[in-house]
Amino acid sequence: MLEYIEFYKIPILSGTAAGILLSFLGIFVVLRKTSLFGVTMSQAAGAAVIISFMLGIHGEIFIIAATSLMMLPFFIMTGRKSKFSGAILTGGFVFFTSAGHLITVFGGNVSNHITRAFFGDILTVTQEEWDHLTLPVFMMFPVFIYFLPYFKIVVFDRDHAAIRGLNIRFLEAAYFLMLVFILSISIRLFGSLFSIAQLILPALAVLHLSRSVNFALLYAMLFSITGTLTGFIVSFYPFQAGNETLNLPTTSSIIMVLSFGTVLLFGTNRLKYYLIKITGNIFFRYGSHKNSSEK
Amino acid sequence: MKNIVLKNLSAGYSGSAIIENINFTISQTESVLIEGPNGAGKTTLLKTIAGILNPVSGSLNSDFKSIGYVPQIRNIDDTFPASVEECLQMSFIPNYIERVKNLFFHFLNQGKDPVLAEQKKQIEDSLSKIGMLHKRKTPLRDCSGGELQRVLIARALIHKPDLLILDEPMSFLDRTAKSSLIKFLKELHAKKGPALIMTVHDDIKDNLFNRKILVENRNVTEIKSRKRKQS
Repeated sequence: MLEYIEFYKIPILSGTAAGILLSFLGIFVVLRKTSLFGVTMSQAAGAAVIISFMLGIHGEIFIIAATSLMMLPFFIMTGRKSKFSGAILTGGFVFFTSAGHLITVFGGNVSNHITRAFFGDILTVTQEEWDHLTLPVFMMFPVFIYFLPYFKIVVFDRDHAAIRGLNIRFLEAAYFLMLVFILSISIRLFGSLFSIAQLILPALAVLHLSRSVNFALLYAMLFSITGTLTGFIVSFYPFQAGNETLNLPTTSSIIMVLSFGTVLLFGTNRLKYYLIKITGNIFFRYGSHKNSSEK
Repeated sequence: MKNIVLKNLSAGYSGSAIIENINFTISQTESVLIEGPNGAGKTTLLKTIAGILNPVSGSLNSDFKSIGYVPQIRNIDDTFPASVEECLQMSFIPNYIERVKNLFFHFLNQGKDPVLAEQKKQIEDSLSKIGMLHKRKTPLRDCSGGELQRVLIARALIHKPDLLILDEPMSFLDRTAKSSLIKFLKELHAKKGPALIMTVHDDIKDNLFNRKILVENRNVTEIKSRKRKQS
């Protein structure tokens, strides 16, 4: 096991770092109720990755710029809270997914490109990619910490933020660009399913357990790290299937671990909530349910 | 005396007016009740007065330097992970240069950060005013509708506003909580407090407000006006 970890230290480190950043941004994606926007953006970034593979453009700037251009109209629409935004984002989701598929027909190895854009190949992250992407990824941490108090204020109450003199449009643009940046790099390296899972699942799992945004960020980080490392370990263990020795695919193992963890944390809480409703709080003492029913 | 003057003002969203031809002046000694049915444009008018929305046309001149705004409770996500204290804390916009300076000061003076200490004092004062100091560590999700409403009022009062705008604060309150809120606003306004503008969609039988304005059918009409007794 240790030799696996030593050999794959770059994929492990890069996957964990990207997972932490995605889970941080995911807290705000879920709090803003824009999960569908995040998912659609990941498909747009996936299509941009396929285009970049096909054209042989290796720089991330192309992917980031293409994703920003594709998602900008959706971002403006979500800000205006159109009643059709959910339906339009779903349309965008299927459009970008199919567009990515169609584009591959015009060049390159279709199944390789599709598989890489969707499922990624976390174990093949190279030293060159690590050297190239480490700095921008790690630079995002201080940028995120700088913007964190502002994001909290804007997400909690936009009107109050406006009265306090915050430039909402600038902050929204900063949030959008950070999301595009980290999603594009993550999808380029690890595929869109890994990125969506790290964006949404940690936030979903921990938000109801957290008393403050800072705690939510801490719990999401721990959840993401634990899920990623457990997924790696699960995929490193060989198992017998008939006469063959097989290893589970790493990206999917990480996603499955994160999903089970989410079901465990979120599902247990929901189960507890319904038990309280049915039994009239005989087994649990939990003030929030009493109060939330008052509202 | 500070006042706010609205002249031929039209208020609305994205360039299209919801209410038009608004003309009135509110001074610091006044308390104004805005009535009207749901969807008449009361919130749009309040947001325009508060400076959250730009007027579609006309002019709005305000001498009020600090405005407190209490939004409708249904626009607040009560599942947001924050305690009562943190909700008020979010009213202070971070100033990083000041924070770095204070970080050094903090170490040099054994745990005294003047900015944080001042903010804490302001938060505690504001929570005391509305009788929520004992609940400062309570998560927002554990607060009842009435408590959340009071927290939002405390947040609006934290910067000692000249004008306090309340958007349907009675909506989720029972009769006792409603009269307690009216009593609180009366006391606040009587002690040379802020000018008050409040919306409701049903009539309030109380003499707290010296003016009543009706928003209906895209128009704004003054339906009652009396001079406030000088205390």
